[in-house]
Amino acid sequence: MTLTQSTNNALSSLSAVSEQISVVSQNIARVNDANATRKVASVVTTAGGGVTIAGISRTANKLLLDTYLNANAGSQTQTVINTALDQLQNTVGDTDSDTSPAALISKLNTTLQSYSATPQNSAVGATVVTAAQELADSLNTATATVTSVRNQADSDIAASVSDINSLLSQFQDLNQQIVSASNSGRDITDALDARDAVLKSLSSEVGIRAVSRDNGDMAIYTDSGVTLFDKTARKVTFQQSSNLSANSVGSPVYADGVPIAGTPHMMSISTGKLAGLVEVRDSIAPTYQSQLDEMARGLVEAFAETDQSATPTLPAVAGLFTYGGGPSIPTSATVIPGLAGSIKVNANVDPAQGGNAELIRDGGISNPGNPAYTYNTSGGASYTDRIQQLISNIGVARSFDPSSQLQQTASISNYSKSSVSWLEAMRQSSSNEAQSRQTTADRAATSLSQDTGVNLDEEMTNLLSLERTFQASSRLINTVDSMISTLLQAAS
Amino acid sequence: MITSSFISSASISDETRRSIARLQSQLVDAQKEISTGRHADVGITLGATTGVTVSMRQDMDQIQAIKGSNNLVLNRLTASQSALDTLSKSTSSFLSSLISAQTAATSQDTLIQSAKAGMQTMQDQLNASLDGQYLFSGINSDVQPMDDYFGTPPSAGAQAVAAAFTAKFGMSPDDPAVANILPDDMTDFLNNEFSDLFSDPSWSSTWSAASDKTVSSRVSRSQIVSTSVTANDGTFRDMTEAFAMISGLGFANLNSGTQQAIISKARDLTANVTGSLTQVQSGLGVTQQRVSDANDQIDSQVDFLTKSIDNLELIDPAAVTTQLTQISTALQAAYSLTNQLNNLSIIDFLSN
Repeated sequence: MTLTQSTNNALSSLSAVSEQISVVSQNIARVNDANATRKVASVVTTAGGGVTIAGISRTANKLLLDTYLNANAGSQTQTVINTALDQLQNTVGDTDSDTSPAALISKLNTTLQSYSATPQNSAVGATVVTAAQELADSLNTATATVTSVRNQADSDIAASVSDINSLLSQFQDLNQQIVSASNSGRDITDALDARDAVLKSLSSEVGIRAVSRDNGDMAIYTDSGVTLFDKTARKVTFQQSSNLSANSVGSPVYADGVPIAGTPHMMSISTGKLAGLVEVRDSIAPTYQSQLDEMARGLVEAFAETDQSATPTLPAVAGLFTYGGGPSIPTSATVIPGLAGSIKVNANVDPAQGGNAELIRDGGISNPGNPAYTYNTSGGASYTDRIQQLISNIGVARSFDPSSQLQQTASISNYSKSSVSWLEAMRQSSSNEAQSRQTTADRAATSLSQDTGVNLDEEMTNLLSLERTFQASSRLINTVDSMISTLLQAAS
Repeated sequence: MITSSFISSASISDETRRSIARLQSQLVDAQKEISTGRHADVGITLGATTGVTVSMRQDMDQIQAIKGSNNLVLNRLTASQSALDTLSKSTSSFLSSLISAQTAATSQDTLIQSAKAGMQTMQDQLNASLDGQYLFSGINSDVQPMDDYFGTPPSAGAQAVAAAFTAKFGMSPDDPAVANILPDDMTDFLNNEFSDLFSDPSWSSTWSAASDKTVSSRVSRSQIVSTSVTANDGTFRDMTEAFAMISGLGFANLNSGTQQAIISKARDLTANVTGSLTQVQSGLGVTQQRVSDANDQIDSQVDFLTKSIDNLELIDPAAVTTQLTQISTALQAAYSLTNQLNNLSIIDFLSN
């Protein structure tokens, strides 16, 4: 081996070390970037004994990444559901607050009881009207909350779909870069990191399965198997509804023309924010709405007035509580979507609207002055039969629509209580599920980061050894130089 | 370079960051629980059981409202009882006047005075009201049941008595000629025309504005009981009849035989009234007992419900305090760990 050879080797070492230091500096710079993987410059020995950087690789772990993608998608679904349930829970509040329909039904009951003790006092009658109004208001507000939760979910779906589309187009760019660069052997680690980051973001929106192919190419399918990306990004489409009311249904989400959410289909996705939002919009919120509607319908039914004539001929009509479709009584055990939004106290009984609160005692709220619906025929000031009947009606078992997922036969107060149970049970299980999925996702993120992230200490140690190598190589060049100059002096 | 014990710097700090976040949210919950004594989020803690506490709270509201209305009912019953007591006393004293009048030991003026006083007392007591509600009007509680018999102009009852008298005997009760009325004629009048005045429909149209229908009240969740006596009760009709006989038929000018016929009839009626009045009182007494029993039962139900609700909703302060201490300790450890990890970097040990 010649001295020139040695100098060349030392030079190759210097350039290899510089490159390695540059890799170390990249690693250090991104020590806190969750998406950054640790890069390693692989050094190979050349024929003459010198070194060169064969390439830069990264410490990817596809298995851990897949685990993370699954866990993240699952966690996002549950978080979305949990948030929506918390919003719905506002319609119920704490058990000790008087804001839930259940508590207000009970309050109406107590005011009726007080009124039955002093039926001659119309001021007490007015408290019954006030309690009834609070109850109607709470059902109206709850309906507004459910509607806003559904509309929010619908617009979140639109936002999610647009995110998915933009992520897919980013993915397409990166994937193209990777495929072409890996053919030409360029450093693709940064592009790979960026593509993984897009996958992670995508998994927040929709459950995905990423499949690696030759030349670094990758295809993405939803967790249900619909293609989202294969060479090119597929279009995810969704028509946002302008205003979802209680009786309207939101549009489905299509990917590549296949419905993936929002309509019963075998290709429906099960995880990701999108799946959670659709679950909220199409299942949880409408079910709760139907419970509210049934409560409202039960109230209209319980406070209905019947024909008091000796031979009744007229149909029962809505009394204290009436609704958009009043005064006829809605069919028993059948949900009328949006009824809870239109239930109100009949103006004929509301002193604030020029009505007469004593009609609660006397009957005839539906049509004051019509003797057919007047219960208190003698006009007695202490007539309590009707009030007692109303109290009993609140406690009487009636039929409810099974589609509301609560018991089919219950008193109105029992039904309202079951609705609270239903909601809180959902919240409890969903919150537990969300916590455990969050923990799983955290674990997966940690495992991924532990395995593929940068350790500052290690990089610093590497830097030290690289520094030494650089020093040694420099010294070598120096030594060779002095040897050659000694030789030249001897020759002159 | 990749070793099995490798760990990235980001994951070290991430781990402590997550545990600090978790501990802090637990801390907030524990603090809320300590300050309120209840679960931080009752709904999440109880889940499907939440309906049970909601239902118990509904029950509690209802029975407490019933207790409130029962107290009003009890007030009304007590007031009715005291009115009936007064009536009972005045009837007894009238009865003794009648008995002594039969043996001529009492002057007719005294007897008439006694009848008038009795009639007055009866009107006053039957017109008793509480909180704007007439006690003996049945469900017509906004109407005073009895008119003043001695008022001017004369009440419908007084006019009806005078009219019946005139129709029967061809003269007004104030006519001195009433002295000629025979005892048998008077007895016939008392048993028929006069007596009819106190039966329906005449009673309701002339004497009493009360309703036959008594006030009914819900005294427990399932029991609805009648909690008043109306002025239309037979006892009060008989009582009015007896008083009207002495005070409305020109008693002072009648011959003694006819007077005795009236006295005898009035005595029979009054004697019956004292008996039936006791029945009315004991009937109300039974209702009073029922209502106060219902209230006692409600008290024990409220105790039970309060305990059950507390069992579900309240936290164990000792456990939560311990938990709070544990959380703060863990949090302190996490903070100091973060600081120490921060200092544990090879950079501090490298020297150039």
